[in-house]
Amino acid sequence: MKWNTIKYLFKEGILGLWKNRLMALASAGTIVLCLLILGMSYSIAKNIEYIMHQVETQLGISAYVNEEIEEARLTEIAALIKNTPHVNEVTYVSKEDALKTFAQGQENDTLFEQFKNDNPLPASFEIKVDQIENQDQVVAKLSAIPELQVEYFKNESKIFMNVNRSIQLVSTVIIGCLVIIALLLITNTIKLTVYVRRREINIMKYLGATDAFIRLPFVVEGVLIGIIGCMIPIYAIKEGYQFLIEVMGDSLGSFMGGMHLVPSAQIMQGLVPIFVAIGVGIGMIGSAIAIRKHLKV
Amino acid sequence: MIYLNNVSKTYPNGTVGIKPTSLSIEKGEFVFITGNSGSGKSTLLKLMLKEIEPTHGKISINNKEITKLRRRQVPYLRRDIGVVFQDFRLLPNKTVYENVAFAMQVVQATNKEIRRAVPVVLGLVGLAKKARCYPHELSGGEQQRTAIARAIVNNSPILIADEPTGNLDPATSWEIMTLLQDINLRGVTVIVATHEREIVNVMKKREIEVNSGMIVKDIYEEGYEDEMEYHQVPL
Repeated sequence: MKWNTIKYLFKEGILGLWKNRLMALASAGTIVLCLLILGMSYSIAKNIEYIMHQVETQLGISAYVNEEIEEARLTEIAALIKNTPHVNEVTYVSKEDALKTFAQGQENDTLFEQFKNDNPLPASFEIKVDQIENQDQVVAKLSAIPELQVEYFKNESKIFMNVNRSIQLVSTVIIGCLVIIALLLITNTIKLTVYVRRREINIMKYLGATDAFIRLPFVVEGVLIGIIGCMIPIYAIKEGYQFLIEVMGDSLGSFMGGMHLVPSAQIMQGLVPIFVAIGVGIGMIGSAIAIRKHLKV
Repeated sequence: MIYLNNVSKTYPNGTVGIKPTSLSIEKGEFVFITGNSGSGKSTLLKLMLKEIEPTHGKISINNKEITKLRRRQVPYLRRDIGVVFQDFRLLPNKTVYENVAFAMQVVQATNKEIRRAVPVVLGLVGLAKKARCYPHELSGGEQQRTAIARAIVNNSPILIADEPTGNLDPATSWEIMTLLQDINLRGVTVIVATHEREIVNVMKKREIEVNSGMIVKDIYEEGYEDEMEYHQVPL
């Protein structure tokens, strides 16, 4: 195709968008609505996942250290734990620390003084795992060290894992459904816009236009509609989410003890490619497919 | 220029469009194709435009056997044939000038060529002053002139007009017919499908009459009957 023709067809596409602005608006509106719903569901799902993850990491493993251990062996074990896969964080809690923490929780201030010289509490390593699914694996590794006695929230972890799995499944299914609905709605609207103009396509065929010549303006139009259709929800979700974080972020933080929402940048990082792919991809492929039926004259 | 060799067309639903028929139209001819609706007139034109495929037989246009053309080559065949329809089929949101220029964009003419050719053609069909009008601002006759301008702007050697006067009053019909005759005098092969007897009778051109999918009459000017035999060949 000649450069001159390509330029003309791009212009035709942009012009077509304006001349058929009502249909274009309908298509863009459909894309906007679908992507808005999709974006909201995505944000909610991501946040649930994120908060669950934060809760999970609070569930630690305690590895109590045998009383008669040598200093050298202790540092060895500390290093060993640190190098165990999936271990995120290790803190050593000495006997004194343990007693202090314990005493803090009691009303009797003298508790610390009383047991100072005959401390019954063992020293321990407090271990946090990167993901709750990996807890069993870490526990197995730690149990192999004879000087440690490992304790952890076995049942709680199980529940968490189950809840996690169901949330992930449900949100995947919901988002998957939404994507399919968006695809169907958008292609249908584009089909309609092409159907309205089937006469135009028919005339072009009689004038000896090649398929590529007929298709290009429609595809340009589709892409433009797609771009408009995804710019609006990207902007709306970004601003809306930012607003939500400002309003809710603090109260959530104090209410749920240090929990916070997924940062807006992270949400947008996930959403923008999806939006652009759906918006522009569908605009382009949708119009190319929709037009194919009418090219057979 | 246009040769049909034993061409027949049966539609998928069993309707017979054209029974086995042979036909030749030479370069520079002016031919009327007449017949009632449903006679096979439209089938004949559609076959020439490769809108439909013949069930049997071969069609060649401009020394190319179009029955062998692949789908992607069809646009190039259509560029050799200008088409005019009863319902004009102009692009409603383009002006007269743009409608004609569009036909040239389709064949990828340069802007310079377009600027040169379109005014000439519009002058030829008598629409120089209406170049900036949109189709809905024009009379039927003017719309058909635009369609004719569009059909000839690429210098296609063949012009097919399917009931070009079907939507026009008698006076305008005559203007259109005169215009088609002028175009024919410039060397374009013109094929006009019509059922307006009066026009056919007065213009004294070759007339091919189709009835029930068969050519029943092929007469050259003033009653000279062609010797060609159109007999049915069993399938």
